[in-house]
Parts: sequence; structure tokens; C-alpha cells
Amino acid sequence: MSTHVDPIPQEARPFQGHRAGLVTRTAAAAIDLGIVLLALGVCYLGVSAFLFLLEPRSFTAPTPSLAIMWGAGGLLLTGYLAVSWVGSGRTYGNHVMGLRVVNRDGQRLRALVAFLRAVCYVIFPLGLLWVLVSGYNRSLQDLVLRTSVIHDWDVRPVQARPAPTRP
Amino acid sequence: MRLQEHHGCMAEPHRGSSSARGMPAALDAAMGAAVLATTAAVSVTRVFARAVGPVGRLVMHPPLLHERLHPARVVDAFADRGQRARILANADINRLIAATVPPVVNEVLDSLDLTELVRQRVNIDSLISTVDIVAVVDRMDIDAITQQLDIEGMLRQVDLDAIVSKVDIDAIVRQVDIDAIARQVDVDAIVSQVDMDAVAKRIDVDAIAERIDIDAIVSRVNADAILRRLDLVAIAEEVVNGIDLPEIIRESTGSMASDVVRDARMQTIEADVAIARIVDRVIRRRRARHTDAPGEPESLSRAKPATSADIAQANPLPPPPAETPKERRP
Repeated sequence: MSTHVDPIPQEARPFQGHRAGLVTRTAAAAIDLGIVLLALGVCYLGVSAFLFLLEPRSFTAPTPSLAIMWGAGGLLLTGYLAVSWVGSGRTYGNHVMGLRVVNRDGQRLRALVAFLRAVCYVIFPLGLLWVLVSGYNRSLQDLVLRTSVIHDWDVRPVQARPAPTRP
Repeated sequence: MRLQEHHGCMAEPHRGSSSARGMPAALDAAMGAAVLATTAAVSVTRVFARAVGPVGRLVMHPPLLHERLHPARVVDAFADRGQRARILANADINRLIAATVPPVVNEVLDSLDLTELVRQRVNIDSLISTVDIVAVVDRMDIDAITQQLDIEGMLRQVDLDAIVSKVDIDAIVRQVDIDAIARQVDVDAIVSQVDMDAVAKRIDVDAIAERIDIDAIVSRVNADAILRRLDLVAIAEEVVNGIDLPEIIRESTGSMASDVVRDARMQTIEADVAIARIVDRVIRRRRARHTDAPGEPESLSRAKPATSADIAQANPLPPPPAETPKERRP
């Protein structure tokens, strides 16, 4: 027999397992966006340092085009979101805000679903606003892919999907 | 002593010589001859009477004479006169006996020790064995006897202490079959008649408690066995939930950042609820939002589900509506 001490504050326990609202999810998205922008800046500095090492005399700071910036940012954001959702079910923004992304069974997303969800968010982030009017606190991406963003302050990861049993 | 010897002599006569008897032999011989002659005479008389009986009846009642002239009438007249004379003589004899015998008997009795005589001559045990005590008792009027008795006076004269002191109580108790008596006792009926409340009120619990040696009792308690039977883990978990140990740990070890994150999370939750309420009011949504997540979230599967009392105590915000995902899934 093992005992369990619930680490979640008592006032937050009633919300655990319920879908988060727009403010919480926007805050988490903002943190994720900031992380991605920070990563983009690091990448830019890395590339610049690499170019500087190649031709120190003729080095000029690279000025990527807007398309490259959007493309690189989109790819980085997509990869970051998909990997986070498949791995622990939460990005760093979700971790800070106590959120977790689960599928319709309450488990971690499959890689394909996570990738499609990340792509959808990168292409059409305004779909998040559907949470405002949704009677189920779901964004458009959640409706399409049947996913949910729930309050889950527990720091432990969601268990992996159980292997299907064959009769 | 002489009487006893004489009595023994009569019971078993000696068969020795005349001198040994103490009587003259001539007298014994004369008495023997007389007895023999008397016996012979009686026999002859009986034979003669049997032989002359019919003749006597014929003489007494001749067939040719009138009955008044029978000689038997004369004999009857003589018999009547003789009977009257005999009766008178008996009365005289009775008066004579009544006048002479009592003084004589009294004198005789005074000269004898009757008690000693009875003790020696009478077999009292055999005499008592022939008495039917039950029949005697049945014929007695016990009630009448009891009414005449002065029971109280008799009891006052009885020394109960002396009687009780002579009684072997232990021997009596050893002969009592306590088990048989106990089996016949209807304990349930006795207990049902007992007023337990009244008994309990009369018990001085404080006095009893003061006489109890708690230390001795506790020293005999097998604490290890008791602890093994207790679900200490469940008790500890209940205590931890009751005192909100996580909150204590957070307050004692939590950093400023964790407090900030926690406050930020709660504020965003409150903002979510407020905005959702406003939006629902604007779009006039009648049904409350269904925010239950599908499946079983990790935090809920590991912890006990919060009750409505916990929700009301934890946060003034309206609790999320509880509805299963299957019900709300379009």
C-alpha cells in the first residue's frame, strides 16, 4: 500500500482535469512564443558567429528576409510544440501555467496529431479565440483534432499510451 | 439380676436330676401322675360324651311329652339362675378387684425400677421397627398442633449462633451441584427484570477508576499487535489531507518564484472564469460551459477527487460544471 500526498494547492484542485480558458492558454502561448523568439535570436547569433568565423574581415550581420524569418520561426515553433506535446504533453508555457494537452482519451498526443496541431496553431493562431465562445473551452484546433488543454498542475508526465492488446 | 436368672431358667429348663431342679422328686412324680390321669379322664369323658350325646338329647327332649314338661326346661331354669348368680359374683369380684388391685399394683410398681426393667426386658428397636410412622403422621392434625405451638417463644430459646457454628458449611457446599442449579436458572429472564439504568446510577465510576492500575493494564497490552492491525498508512494519509501538508511544505520550502507561479495560475483561472461568464452573458448562453476533460487526468487519478465542500472552501469562484465527456461530445 502506498500513500499519496497531493502536491496541488487545495484551492486549485477543483479545476484539475478541466479545460483551461482563453487567458491561461494565451499566457502559456505567449511564454512559448517568447521562448521561440529567444531561440530564434540564439540561432541568429549562432549563425552570425559562424559566418564571422568563416570570413572575419568581410563579416556583416546577416539580414534575412521576412519570409525566411517567418519560415524559420514557423518551423522552430512547430517543432517545439510538437515535440513538447508528444514528449511530456506540455510545452514550457503549459508547464508554467499548469496546463497539459491531451487527446480525447485524456492521454498524450500521437506524433502525427501533435504535428498537425502545431501546424494548425502556427498557420492560424487565431483559432485559439474560439475558446471564448466555445461551450467546451475548445479552440478550433481542438475541435478539428479532438484535443483538449486541461489544468494539470501535477509535474509528473502523463503516462504513455498503453499498447493495444490483440484478442 | 435374680429376675434375669429366673427368667432364663424358665426359658430353658434344665434336664438334670431332681436334686438339680431344687424340687422334691416325689412332688414331680405326683404332678406327672395327676396330669396323666387328668388327660386320660378328659379323653374318656370326651368319648363318653360323644357316645351319650344322642341319649342325653333324647332324655332332655322326650318325644312323647309336651315341651313344657321337657327336662330341658328345668335345666334352662337352672342355667338362668346360675347365670344371674355368676353375673352378681362377677360384679362383686370387680368391686373387690377395684378396691384391692390398685393399691397392690402401686406397691408393686413402687418396689420395681420399671425403667431399668424395660431397658433390660424390652427390645425397643424391634418394637419401633414395627411402628408405621407414616400412618401415625397421617393421623396427626399438624395444623392444630402448629397453632398450639409458641413458635416465637421456641425461637427465642434457640441459640442460632451455636447451631450455625456446628454446621459444616464446607461439606454442605461440596455436596451441592452448582452446575445443575445454574442450568435451571433462566438468566435471560432475570436480566430482563433488572433495571440496568438504576444499577448504573448507583455505580461509583470514579471510585472504580481510582482503584484501576492503568500502568499494569498498559504494560500487559501488546502494542505491536495493535499497531499491526492498524492501517497506519490510511490514517497518515487522512491526517495529511486534513492538515493540508502540501500547503505547509510549500510555505516552509517554497521559493518566491513558486509563489509567483501559483498566484499567476490562480489569477489566470479567475480571469478565465470571469471572461467566460461575461461572454456567456453577452451571447446569452443558457447552458453552463462543460469543461470536463476526457479521460482521467493525471492529477485526479493520483489524488482523491475534491468534494463540493472543498471547492466552496477553496475558491469563491463557481466550480466547473461536472459532466462526463460522452454526454457533452457532439
